This record gives sequence, C-alpha cells and structure tokens, in this order.
Amino acid sequence: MEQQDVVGRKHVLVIDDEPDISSYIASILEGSQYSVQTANSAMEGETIMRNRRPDLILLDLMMPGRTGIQFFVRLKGNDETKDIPLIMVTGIKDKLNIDWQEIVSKLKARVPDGFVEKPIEPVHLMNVVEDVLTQTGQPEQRA
Amino acid sequence: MDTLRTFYRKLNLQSRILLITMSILFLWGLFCFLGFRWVVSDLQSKQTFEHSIGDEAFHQHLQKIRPIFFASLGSLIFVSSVFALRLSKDLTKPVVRLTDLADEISQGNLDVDIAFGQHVNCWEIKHCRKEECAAYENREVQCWFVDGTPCEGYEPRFPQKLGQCRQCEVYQAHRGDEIVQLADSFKHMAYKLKTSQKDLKGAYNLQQCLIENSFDGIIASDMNGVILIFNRVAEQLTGFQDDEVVGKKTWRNFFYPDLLEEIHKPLLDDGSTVLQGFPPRESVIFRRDGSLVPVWVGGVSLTVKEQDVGKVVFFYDIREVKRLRQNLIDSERMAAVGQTVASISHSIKNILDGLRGGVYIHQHGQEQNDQEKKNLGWEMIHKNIDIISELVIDLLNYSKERQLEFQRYSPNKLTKEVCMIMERKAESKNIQLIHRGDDQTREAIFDPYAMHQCLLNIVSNAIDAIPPDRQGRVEVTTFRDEQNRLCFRVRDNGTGMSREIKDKILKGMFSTKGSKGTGLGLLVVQKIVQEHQGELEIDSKKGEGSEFLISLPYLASTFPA
Repeated sequence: MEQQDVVGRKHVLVIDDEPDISSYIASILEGSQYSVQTANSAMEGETIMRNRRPDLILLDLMMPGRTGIQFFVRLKGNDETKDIPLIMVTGIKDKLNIDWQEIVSKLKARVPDGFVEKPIEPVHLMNVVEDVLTQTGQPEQRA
Repeated sequence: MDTLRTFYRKLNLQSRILLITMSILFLWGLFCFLGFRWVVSDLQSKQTFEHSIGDEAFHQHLQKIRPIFFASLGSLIFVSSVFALRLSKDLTKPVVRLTDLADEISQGNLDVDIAFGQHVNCWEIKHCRKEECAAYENREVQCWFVDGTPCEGYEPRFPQKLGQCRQCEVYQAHRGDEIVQLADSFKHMAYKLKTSQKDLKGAYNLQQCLIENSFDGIIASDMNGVILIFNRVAEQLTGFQDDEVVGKKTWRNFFYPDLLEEIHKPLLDDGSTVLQGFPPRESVIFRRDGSLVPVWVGGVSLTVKEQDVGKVVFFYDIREVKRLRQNLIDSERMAAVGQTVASISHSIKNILDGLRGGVYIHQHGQEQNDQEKKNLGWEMIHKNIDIISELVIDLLNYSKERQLEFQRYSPNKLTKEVCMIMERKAESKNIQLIHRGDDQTREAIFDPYAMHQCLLNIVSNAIDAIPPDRQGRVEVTTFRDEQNRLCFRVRDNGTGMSREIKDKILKGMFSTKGSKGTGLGLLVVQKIVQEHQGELEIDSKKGEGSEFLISLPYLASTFPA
C-alpha cells in the first residue's frame, strides 16, 4: 500500500505477511507523522526498496516464502542497503532462538538495530523507532 | 539227545513231516518184517509140531498166540499214534503261539516276545565292530531286516537285500524252519510297527507341543466348523478351557461370521501351491464374559488333495500393541505440541496484534471522525476473533483425549456434507468443487465426526492453496483401493509444495500460510487418521497442486456397530 509522502517526513517500510499487522503499525507510525509503505512479503519489500530507499525498515521475522532472516541477511550483505536501520518485529522466543552473533560474524555487520516484541504496544513501538533513528544518526522526527 | 533235538529243530517242516512219515513207515515195516519172520518160523515149527502134537494142538497154539499178535499190533498202533501226536504237536505248537501273538499285535500290543529260533548276533559271527551300523547290538530284529547295514556287496535295503542275506553265514546260523522264518517276519513287522508308532507319536507330540506352546492363539476346526484344536493361548484369551470347546463349540462362538467367510477366498496361487484364506488383519475375539479382545488374526482353509478338511486361524492379542501405539501417538502429539509452542504463540501474538490494531485504528477513526478507518478497525476485530476461535477449536481437538466413536456411516454422505459446507468458500474464490462418491461402499465403520473434521480441514486447505489468478479445481473422491481400504482423496490444482515443505508439514506445526495458519489443522488430520489406524499420504508438485489421500482399514462389521 503506497502511503502519501510528505517532504521532510521519515520514510518507513513495514514488511509483514499479515495485512492487519501492517495496517496497525502503519496507523501508529502515521499518527506520528511518518511516511509509511507496507509490503506483504520480503520480495515485495525488495521491489519497493528499489524505487525508494527507506529511512527505516520494520520487518516481521516469520513469513512464508522468503523469511525475515533471509531478507535481513540479503539487506546487510549488500553494501548499498547495509546501513538502512532495521527493526525486527518478533516474539521474544524468536529473538532468543536466533543466533544473531553467528549471523553477524558471517556478515561482519551489526545485529538488528532494534526489536519490537509482539503483541505490539504503540508507545513501545514509537520509543524503539525513535531510539533506533537516533542511534543510527538519523535526525529524530517528532510529531 | 540234545544233538538230536538240535538236528530236528534245524529241519524244515517238509523234512520233519517226511521224517515222521518215514518213522511210522519204518515202524510198520519193522512190525511186518518181524511178524513175517514169526509166521515163517511158526509155520516151520508147525510142520514139525503137527507131526508131534497133531492138528488140534496146533490150532490151540494158534489161538494162544493170536492175542499176543493183536496186543503187539495194538501197542504198535498206540506207540505210532503217540509218536505222531507228539510230532504233530511239535509242528502245531509254534503255529498256535504265532496265532496268539498275532492276536496280541492286532489288539495293539506290540511289546510281545516273539522269540522263535535262535537269535544270532551278526557282529559276533562276522567279528564286525562297526558301531555306526544300525544292526550293531540290535537284539530286536535280525540284521537282514535292518536297512543300511554296511555289508560289502549287499543291497542296502530290506527286502531287496534278502536274496543275498540268505547266503550269508549269519542267516545260515539263524535259519530255522518256516515257522521261525514266519516268526522273524512277524517280529520284523511288529518292530516296524513299533518304530513307526514311536515316530508317529514323536511327531504328534512335537506338533502338540508346537500348538500348545505357540505364542499365537491357534483354533482349528473340521470342515463343519466344529472346533478340534484350541491351544493354551486361545484358552487364556477367551477364558474357555480346551475341554469346554473341543467338539462342542464352533467358530461363531469366537469370531464374527463374515471374517470366517473370507477363509474360502484365494490367498495364494503360485502355480504349485494354492492356498485359500485371508491375510492377517485386525479384528476381535469373543471372551467368555462377552467382552471383546482386539486381535491380529489370519486364517487358512486346510485341504488335503484338494479336499477341504478344516479351517485354522492364528491370532495374537494386540491390546498391548494398541496401548503402546496410542501412547506413541499421544507422546508424538504432545512432543509436537511442545516443540511448536513458539509457533502457536506467534500465531496468537499475530491475532492479538490484529485485535489491538483493529481497536487502535477504530479508535483513531472515531477521534478523527474517519468512517473508513472505523470500518477497517471493526473489520480487523471481527476477522481476528474468527481466527482465534478457529485456533482454539483446533487446539482443543488436537490436545484433548477424545475417544473415537465408531459407527456405521456412509462415506459418500460424509464427503457430500463436507463439500456442501465448503461450497460457499470455493464459490467466493471462483473454485470448482467436485464430489465423486463410491457406488460400491454403502456404509463403513468409522468416526464420522472426526472424519468430517479431518476432511473439512483438508478441503479448506486445498481451497486456500489455489492462487486467485488460477482456474481453481478441488476434487473430493471416495473409493476402495486394491487392498480394500476405504480411501478419501482431496486433489487440488493449487500452488503445491516442495519436498522440503511436504516433509515439514506433518512433523510439527508448520504452515505455508504464514500468520494465517498455525499448521495445527494438518496435525489434527494426522491424529484422527492415526487413531483410525489409517494412513495419510501427501503427493504434491510445486506449482501444479497437491493430493491428500487418507486410507483407512475398511471395517464393514469387524467392529461392533
């Protein structure tokens, strides 16, 4: 779903196979004046990225087809996209079960810049988004 | 005297009769000769005597010697009769004894002493010490009756060897009259009967032991169905004793009749062996108290030269197997549940997010007076309530210990009902839902509620697997396969699955639908099929579609309705 862009707003790409969750996240972010685009699969996300580089990606870990991990590995393995901040939207168990250190040591890259656990709390989501944007040197945007 | 007796015994019957006749003739001849001599001497003396004493005195003299003559003749006849009687007794006594022995044998007593003639030990006469020889130290029969004696140049087997044996010094040493030879034959016959009886008894005992000590239950009947063999395991399983059953009860007391009707169906025909019966299968045996014990049972018709002589079934108790199988199913299921809690929690979290999202969007719509947002939020809430309801039902069905409720039901009716329920869903996606019933199977025994749920899950998955851009087609078919199993097949032309995904979907909660599915539905299907002791096979080609085949043991009446 292409969101209306406004010059100066941070552009966020939300990738989740469940449209309800994409809509929920988009609704939260739009409430804070972020420009949001949603994708229902990793492949669709890659297509959107080719047209416009996002300032932040929110990625669901468990998706059919190409999973969130595979998308993450491709993103961080590519010099052009490796600096795009990424927040994993996942459950605690998923976060613990994945050996991020192994992935990171292979990629020589950072772990995901942030994690948002499900079920998603709007305040917590916004805190993580703003922290990540600040830490990664992106100018903070406040509504 | 002993020498004479030995000599006499060595004579054959012909020679003895000749000897007796000759002896009597000799005595008669001797008598006649002596009488003639006496008469001649008497006549000579008469001529001299007549001159001296006259004719009257001669006649008086003749009168005087006549009684002596008759007395002598009578004595001779008496002695000859006694002699002949004695000799004839000697001839008939062994025949009488042999007759008595034959009577004994005919009454089944084979332990009679048939000691006629002199027993000779071949190994002593021949100075042979071949301990491996069957005749060595065999004191029951003479060596010429024994097969396989290693005498050089001799036929190995009786009676072919007899011609050569008759020339042998051992035979000569033993050889008696015809009575002795007859007794030898008798003795040999009794010996053969005894050994055959012993062999038969040994074989019978072995068979009895095999039947009695078999780990399987064995029940055999004659061709009329009257039970003749009822072994220990059969006793333990049914609670009946052998003597209560043998000759008194029939198959109907222990098995369903239609199971045994199959005993006359061809089981094997490889050209040389023709066997009628039914291969082992699951059924039940009736106990004395009326309860049923599940057994694995196979049966065979017994034939001798193409004539039916009876029936036999072999069976074993599968209560423990069934218990272990159920435990295994339960533990696998619980393991699968345990391993995939994360998967469920992920699904639940997604649903919760959908609900939270719906509420959030609805609230924002209300705050901003945006009807579109309000509607979107409300729709999300509704949808996620439906999803969580389905998930909870699946979870309950998968985890709860529901006992199957077997009953007679029409498989066609079942698939028709499933198709009717899914028709709306199929129509909404422009998918053609085809139902093909099985004309041969009117009713079968299964749990219709469980199978309904099973098929509903598979048909729903099949509809979901068809992408919107495809002319969708889902076929639901009922049939009986070549093994007589009741089969339900659901075939779609959807996206299909790779081998990797196909392997995963039955091992744990794995879904190709992302957050739309938990993978629980297929586990429920698998559980129900396993509980029916059936099989679930999946054939799928990525991009071409999938086929789910459920095969259940066809139970027409082997379970109580």
